[in-house]
Amino acid sequence: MSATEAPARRPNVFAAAEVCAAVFACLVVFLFLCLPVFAIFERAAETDFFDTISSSTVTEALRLSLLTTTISLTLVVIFGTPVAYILARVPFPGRDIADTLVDLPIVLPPAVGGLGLLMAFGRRGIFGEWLDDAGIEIAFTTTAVVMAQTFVASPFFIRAAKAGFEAVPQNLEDVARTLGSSRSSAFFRVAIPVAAPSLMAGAVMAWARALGEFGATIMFAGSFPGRTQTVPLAIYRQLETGVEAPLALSAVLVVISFVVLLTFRLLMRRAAFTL
Amino acid sequence: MKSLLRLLWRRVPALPAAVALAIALSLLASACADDVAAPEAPTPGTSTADPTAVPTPEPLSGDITVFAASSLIQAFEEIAVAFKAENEATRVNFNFAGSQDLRTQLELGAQADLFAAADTRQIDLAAESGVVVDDHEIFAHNRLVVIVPKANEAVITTLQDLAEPGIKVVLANVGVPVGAYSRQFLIKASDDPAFGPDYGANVLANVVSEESNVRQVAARIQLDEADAGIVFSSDVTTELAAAVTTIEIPDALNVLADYPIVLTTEAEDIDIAEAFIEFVLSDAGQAILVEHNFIGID
Repeated sequence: MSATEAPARRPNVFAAAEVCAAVFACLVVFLFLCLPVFAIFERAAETDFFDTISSSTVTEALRLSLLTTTISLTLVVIFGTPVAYILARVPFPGRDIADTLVDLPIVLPPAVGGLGLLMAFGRRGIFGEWLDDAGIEIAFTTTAVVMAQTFVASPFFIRAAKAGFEAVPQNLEDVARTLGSSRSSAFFRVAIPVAAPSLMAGAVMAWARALGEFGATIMFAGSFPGRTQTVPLAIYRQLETGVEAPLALSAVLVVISFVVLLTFRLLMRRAAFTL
Repeated sequence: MKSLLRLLWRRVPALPAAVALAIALSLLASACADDVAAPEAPTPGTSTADPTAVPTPEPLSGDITVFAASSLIQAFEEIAVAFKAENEATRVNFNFAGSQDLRTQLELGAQADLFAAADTRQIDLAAESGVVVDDHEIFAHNRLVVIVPKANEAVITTLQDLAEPGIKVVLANVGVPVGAYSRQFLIKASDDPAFGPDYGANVLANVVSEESNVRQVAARIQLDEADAGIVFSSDVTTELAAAVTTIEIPDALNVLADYPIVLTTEAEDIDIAEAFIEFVLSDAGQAILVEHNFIGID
């Protein structure tokens, strides 16, 4: 804010101190964030990494995690986008409350989400008995994993998408309407493309949250290899028998996450230039 | 509803973070306790000069941390109360989890004075990695039972019913003592003509979740989320008995679980830790274990 005037008036000692403090803070944060990641690779390298990585527990967990997070993300985007648009554009009584409810899973401990899902959709849950009568079983299935992930991840997408839609100038859509677009085509051909970077950012955050999901999953879906044991559950479970498989899984997870985030960042930069 | 919440509060999976927090808190608690004890220090400072003296009944003071198998929760908490009644200046802190979890925590550097496990395998592995001393004491035995929800909609009345297709069975995973014992039972039963050679495989095919400790298995059945589970007979507490029906496993097929207790190599307060082991083995300690459906050592 005062960046243009203040430094000029201050003695150089302060400027030097500021630089030192900033560099120190950067070092501390960088080391703190990087050392655990480095330690995982350092230790994983000591193990028979490629043997471990091709073992069935590891590949099953990775396959399951990629499958479930893909489905969860698809659901979050399909259902979350209209919700975000309505929250951003349509004024209605109680919108603050609706907004807060949507954000709630971000703040709630995942275990609370898992317990809630169990109480709602478990065999003795509120809807569970009804589902049970209809022959639909959810608890302990891959469906339960997807539900847990969708529950915890959706606010990350909806928040970002809502901010994106709020930033789309209303008159852009109005102009499209006056030029003969229907409401829905204005939404698809104006609002969505303009808000695309925010939608993408939200989708990446939601996917990352789904990938890391642990608490709600273990409570609601249980833990069974190949069916409900996603990578975080497998890391937790395998740590009981040894540190090799957890290290391998962690290393793979770090690489996947890094590649996804970096790709996303580069894509966003290109999008920013072309827009 | 209230009791349900209380149940889950106690039985939700021990998330790594919670464990870390528990360890941090117990360390903090022991640090605080040391501070409190400090003002009394001057006199013991002189008495340490004659270590050869016959163990005069000098009161023990300080606290110890005991890592104990999940199945020991109620029994050990009661033993700790009785132990404290005899040794007022002591405190026993617990960390309850699956024995294999506790062993891993010790190997990763968690601080404890005693380790009480639900099988000797975990103690042997811990001794191999040098986190506990070599000689352990067996202080109790336990046996397996099958539990089914009171509602029992799957209509399970015999052990053979566990192999019926479509039944939802919950076991502890094979790394957990009770999970390993459960599989031993399945192997024994498969050799028995009354069950047939496919019995074990059929039961395992019905498993919908593998839990990290015995109490999580019990909780799944208590909440009626699954049709049957295998736990220790000592896990059928009065609270659990209200929600489940027990199916006994005959002695010939059952597995007698050994519960060993051992000092860790990092134990800080060896006097109290040894006194605690002695108390667990004493008549008073054994009576409490038996009261909680463990089998005493005789």
